[in-house]
Amino acid sequence: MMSWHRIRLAGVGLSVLLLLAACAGSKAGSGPEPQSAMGAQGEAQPEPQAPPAPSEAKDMSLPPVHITELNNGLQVNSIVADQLPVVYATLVIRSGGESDPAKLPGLSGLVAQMLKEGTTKRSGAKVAEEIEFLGADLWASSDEENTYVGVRALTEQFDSAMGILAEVAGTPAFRAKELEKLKRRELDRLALSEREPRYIARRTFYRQLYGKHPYGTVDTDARAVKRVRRTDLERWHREHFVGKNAFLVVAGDVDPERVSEAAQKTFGSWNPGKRAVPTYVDPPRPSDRRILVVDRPGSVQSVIYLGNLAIARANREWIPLMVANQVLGGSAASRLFMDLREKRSLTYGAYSAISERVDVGPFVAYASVRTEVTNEAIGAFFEHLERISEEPPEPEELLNAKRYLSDSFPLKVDTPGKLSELVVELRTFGLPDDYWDRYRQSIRKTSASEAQYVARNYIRPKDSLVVVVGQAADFAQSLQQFGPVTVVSPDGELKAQFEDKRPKAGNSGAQRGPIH
Amino acid sequence: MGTALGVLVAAATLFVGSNAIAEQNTAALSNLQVTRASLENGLRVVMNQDDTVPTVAVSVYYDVGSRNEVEGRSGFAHLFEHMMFQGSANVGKGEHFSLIINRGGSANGTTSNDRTNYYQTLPSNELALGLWLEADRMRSLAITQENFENQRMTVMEERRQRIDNQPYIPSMLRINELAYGDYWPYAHSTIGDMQDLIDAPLGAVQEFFDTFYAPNNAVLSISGDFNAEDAMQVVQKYFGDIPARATPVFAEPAPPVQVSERTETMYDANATLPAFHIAYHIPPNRSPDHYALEILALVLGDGESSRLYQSLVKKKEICQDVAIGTDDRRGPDLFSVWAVMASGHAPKEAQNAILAELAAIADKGVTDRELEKAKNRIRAAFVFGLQSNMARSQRLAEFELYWDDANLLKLELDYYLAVSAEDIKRVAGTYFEASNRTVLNVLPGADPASEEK
Repeated sequence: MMSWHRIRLAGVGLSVLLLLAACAGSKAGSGPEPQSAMGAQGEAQPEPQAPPAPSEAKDMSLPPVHITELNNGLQVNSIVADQLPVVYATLVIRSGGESDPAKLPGLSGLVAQMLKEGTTKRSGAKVAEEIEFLGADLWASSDEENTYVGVRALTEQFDSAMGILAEVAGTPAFRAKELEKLKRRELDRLALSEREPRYIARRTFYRQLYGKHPYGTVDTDARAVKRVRRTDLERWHREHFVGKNAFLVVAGDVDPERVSEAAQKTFGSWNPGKRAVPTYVDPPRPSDRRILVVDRPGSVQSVIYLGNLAIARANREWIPLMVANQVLGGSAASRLFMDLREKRSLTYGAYSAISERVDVGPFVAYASVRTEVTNEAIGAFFEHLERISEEPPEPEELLNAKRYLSDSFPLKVDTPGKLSELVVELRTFGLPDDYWDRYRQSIRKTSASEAQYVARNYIRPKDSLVVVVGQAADFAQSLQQFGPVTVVSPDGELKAQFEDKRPKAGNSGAQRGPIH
Repeated sequence: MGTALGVLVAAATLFVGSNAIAEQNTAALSNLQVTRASLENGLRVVMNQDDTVPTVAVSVYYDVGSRNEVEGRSGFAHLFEHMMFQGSANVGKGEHFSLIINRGGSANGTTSNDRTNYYQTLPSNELALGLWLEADRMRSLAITQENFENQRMTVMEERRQRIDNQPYIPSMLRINELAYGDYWPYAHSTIGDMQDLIDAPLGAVQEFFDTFYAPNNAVLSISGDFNAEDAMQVVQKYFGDIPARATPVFAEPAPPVQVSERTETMYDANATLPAFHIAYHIPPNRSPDHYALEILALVLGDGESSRLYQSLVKKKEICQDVAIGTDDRRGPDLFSVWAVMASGHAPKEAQNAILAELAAIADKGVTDRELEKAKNRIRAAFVFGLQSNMARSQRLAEFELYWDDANLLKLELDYYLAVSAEDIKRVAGTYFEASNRTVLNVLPGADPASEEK
């Protein structure tokens, strides 16, 4: 039983790490390498059986979302999912990293963490003790768009849990002494993170891709942590934790009327304030490929991030692009995984994704590969990015991608916690209320030409940003066959530059990597 | 005045609340619909119906893990697990995953010390596909040199990505080697040594399959939206004619014997802060003292209100993070502590504080409130842990495989609730002798001894 505990509660606890060592292929497996591979079975075998066909699909309807609004503008969403006596309540503040002051990247995240460090009524230790005594969990965090304070409890504890949620979110003390402690922990955490190759790759990639745009900040930094003062936290909290800039999502074994009453009781006294609308600085719009190598001598692997600015979540082309990405790299059945892992054995996994953002979000392809094959892997990435943007997917690939995305939807709604996330997504990105009801149908309607058309617009190997974290001496210079290469240290100090040695554009202008 | 009244009211509410929780929880557990069956070939089947959402989870647990590996073949159970996704008589190379994913499912497999599992979640109308795929590879795995080389490379890459290139992970492997010593089943890592992975011969794959992957050495567990009688017919159709084979009983070596404290210091070039592990030998999971030790670990390290988090991370600020728990093995287990120091602090400071805390509990026990909090956490964790079809199918499969009856899961909470303050005091006084302890210090940087040319 203990593993549930530690994985859910302790986060990076001991057993998580032990399990890591034990775990198998993150998604061991394979994909639509169509029929050709069947030859492995030999010839004299009897005719292979076909896999069983599905029985009739069950229709599934989502539980309705009950919406009410408090006098101060705070919207309350409740969903009844009462199979088990549990409830999830999430308060969403509609401001996150996009609202950090330029000089204090990560401020919203620090505010979130400080919420749990004590209220005007009692210490952080007392708050933690009370919530944990209930058998409940309380968390606070922020991302690019929002700041979240959530609680999960048994239904019997709903009122108590809501009370603590509101106390923590509404009346944090931001005690100077606790802030100093948090700063020290944050500095240690940052120093440790900066040794992790994937962290370095992510941070560098987003900074390069977005420049001064707020999405360029994936984490706070030591300078901001040292600089931040209690008054910065208080001001940010006062401005953003207001009725019109917040909504509540409650899902589980609850009665919507009781939820409204509890919300009124706990959040009704908040100031209405106003909805905070972020301003987005324009990100750079590059017209050519850039390759940035972060030298990490001693690395046994190279971490590769490769991509470009793509699309906002609310854009109508999001769904066709998601379908194209599914063909390319969305899962262990997609082209990247099938080729880079299953065929060429370069990596434990290669994937691609489009990230959900209010403003323009990124397309990113990524893998960790052993150092010797860095060059080959980047060539393979470009080959697949070119193919998805130049040719429509094969009919079977398209069908499979759509079936995966639409038919796996029930797995996204099988717990109250997951139902809550869908509502948060609706509100965050301003999607219509019936979005999830029509979602599967929209996926199924995507045509091959639509998938290709959006891929051509949003997946652009010709002006990709490539970030590689690894032992530069082994591969950096050879990457000039893909474009101009800059080598820096993890602190950003320039170490070397190699000029663009792409063969001059012949026919398509797109560069093919040397494969095999 | 106001405050005092508030506290009293809150306390009264909590008291009523926790009784109610107890009933709700017991109900949630005892309401689990569990049907057990077995086929003539010895395959055990566990079915748990729940039509909350139209999905179904299928898990197959094989009674083989890294504990069954022989010396020189470390990592083989896990490497073999990768081979299970490489095709079988009716499933081409690369098709296992694509068939599942392309029909809206997801799947994976994992290997631990004690078992290997394979699992998939599918839309409920695809149950037959999941069962057919599991049966096909149980009957007729396709083993080729090409597949094997490919997966050997993938596993070596997995090791580099998840262990060799990450801070603090190599020490997770080392602490087990050190604590278990000559007890090979748990001393060596599940991921395996690089050299053993390189040396693994193709012939060993077929041999491993023939030895361990028999229906009578497995449990099939299905949870979700399906009809048990219909499902049993499909199970019979796909699995019924897979022949039973003699499988070896795990030859459990004598338990590890430790007569004096073991200490070691290692260097981690990817780390920035000192860290340490402490491990104590304790009895296997689900033995009577184990429950008390789990609750003791919760009091010490579970959540931000726990004793050690409050004292080491918050008050003294000498640790960046601390984690305490039992590892929960079927065989001889460990009680483990892991901590990363705050900058400017050495492991010794925190180690002394932890030893003092263990001694204090052996002497004075835990408070009633601490014990009740730990039990409330466990009750809630049982309910939250039953939410998804996948979680239920896995927990039930594990109980059937390890303890011979999935229904025991329904009673499991009772063992935790029965632990008394006296039990905790007693185990704290029993297992934490210095002679039962292994300490591994981890220092950031390259090993000075290996830097000489």
